[in-house]
Amino acid sequence: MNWQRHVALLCLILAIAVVQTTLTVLLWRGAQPDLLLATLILFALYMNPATGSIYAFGMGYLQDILTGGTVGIFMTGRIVIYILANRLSHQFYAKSAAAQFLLIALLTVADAIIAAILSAIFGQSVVLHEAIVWHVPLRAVITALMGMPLFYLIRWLWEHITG
Amino acid sequence: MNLCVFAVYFSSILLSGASSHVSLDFIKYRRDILVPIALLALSVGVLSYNSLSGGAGGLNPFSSLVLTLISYPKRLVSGSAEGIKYYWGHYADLRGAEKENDLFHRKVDELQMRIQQLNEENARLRAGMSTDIWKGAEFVTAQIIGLSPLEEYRVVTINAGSDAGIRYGMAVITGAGTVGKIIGSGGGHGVPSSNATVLLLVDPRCRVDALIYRYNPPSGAETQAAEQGLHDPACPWNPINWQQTRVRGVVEGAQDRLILKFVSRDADLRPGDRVVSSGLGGVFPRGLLIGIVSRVVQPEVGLSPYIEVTPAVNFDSLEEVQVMIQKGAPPP
Repeated sequence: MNWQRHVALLCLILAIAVVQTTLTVLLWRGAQPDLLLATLILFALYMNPATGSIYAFGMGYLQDILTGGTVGIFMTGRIVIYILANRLSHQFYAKSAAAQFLLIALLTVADAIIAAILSAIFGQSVVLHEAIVWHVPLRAVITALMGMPLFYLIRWLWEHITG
Repeated sequence: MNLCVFAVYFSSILLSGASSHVSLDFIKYRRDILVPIALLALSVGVLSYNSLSGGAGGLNPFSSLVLTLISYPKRLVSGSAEGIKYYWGHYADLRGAEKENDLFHRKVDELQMRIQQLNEENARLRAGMSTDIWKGAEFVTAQIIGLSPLEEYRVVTINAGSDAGIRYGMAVITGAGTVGKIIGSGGGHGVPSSNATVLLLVDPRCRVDALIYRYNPPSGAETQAAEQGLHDPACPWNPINWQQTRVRGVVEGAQDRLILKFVSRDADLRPGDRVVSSGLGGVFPRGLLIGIVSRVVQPEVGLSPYIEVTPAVNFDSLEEVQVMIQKGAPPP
C-alpha cells in the first residue's frame, strides 16, 4: 500500500471515531454500534495480517483514550479480535453478507468479553454480567447491521478515492 | 511511551523489508505471524505497565494530539446534530421563543446552583460551623461535545480543557447535582488544552465517599417561609430542612444508577434519604448532592444491605456542565 492509502485510512478511522462518539449516541441511546470494531473486521478480511495488526493496535489505542480507561485494554483486545477475524476469514467464505453479519456479531460479543475480562484483571471494576447480558447482544446485532453498509461504503471510497 | 516508539520502529523495519541481511530474512518472510504476536505482547506490556503505575504521569502528547484532532470535528458534528434536533422539534415561528426559553433554562440552572450555594452557606451558619467550601468557588461552564463510544464506559467529552483552567480530578456539577470528575487522557493525569474527559458518577470506575441526610420537617419561621413560597418544596436539595444522619458509605456507579456500598447492616436508611458527598478524597467538596436513596434491600446473608441510589442528575439529557476549578477557601 502506498502512503496516500494509509493517510486516507487514518482520516477514515478518525471520521468513524467522531461519528461513533456523536451521532450513534443520538440515534441508538442504550445500544450503540461499534463502528470502529466493524471497520477493524473489514481490515481483517482484506488486509495482510502485518499491516492490519498495526491498524488494530492503533484503533485499540484510540478506543482506550476515548473510553478513558486503562490504556492497553482495547489495544490488546483489538489485536486478539483482528487475529481471530483474520483466521476465521480463512476458515470459511467471509465475504458474503450473511457470513459477514455472523462474523461481526460474534466478534462484537468476543470483544466485549475480552475487554471485560481484561478490565477485571487489570483493576477496573466494570459491571461484567450486566454489560454482557444487556448491552452486548443488542450491540452485536446493531454493529453487524451497520457493519455491512459500512463495508460497502469503505470499499466504494477505497476504489473511488484511492484509485 | 518508549515501548510505543519501539513498536513503531520495530514494525516499520518489518514492513519495509528493506534489509537484505540474512538474519532479517526469517522475520521478513514470517512477518504476517510475527508482527501481530509482537504487537500483542507489546500491548499486554503497555497494559501491565499502565495498570501497575495506576495511570500516574503527565499529559501524554500523542493522546492529547489525537483527542484534540477529534474534538474539532466533534464540535462541528454535535453542533450540527443539535441544530437538526432543534429544527426538527420546533416550528420556525417559535424559534425566538425557544431561544428565549433556552436562555431562561440556562439562567434557572445558574440560579439553582446559586441557591444551592446560599442554602449550603446558610445551613452552615445556622449550625454554627465556620467552614465554608463555597466561598470563593469558581466554575467554568462547558458544553458536552462527545459521548463514550461504548455504553459500559460512561464518559463524556467537554469543550473546555487546560486552557480554561481545568485540571485532573476536578469536580463537575450542574444545578441539579454532581456529574462526575475530570480524568486524564491516555492513562495519564494530563488534560488537553481545548477539551477534557469527564468520568460520570454512573461509571463503575467512579467512587465517592458519601453521607446520608434525612428530611427534617420545617417548623416555626421555616414553615411560614415555606407557605410564603420562599422555600420551594420541589427543590431537590435544601440543606436547611435536611439533617445529617450517622450513616456513611461509598457511592459506586452501576451504568444507569448508583449503588451505596460499605454501609453497616443495622444502618437506618430509607428511600427518599439524600446522598451527599462527604468531602473525603479531595475531589468532591463536602455537601454536593449525589442522589436519592431509591431502594434498600436487607440481605439474608452478608454484612451490607443493597442500597440503590437514583442520581440527582439526568445523565441522558446532559448538555452543559460546570467544572469547579476553584473549591473555595479551605476550612480554617
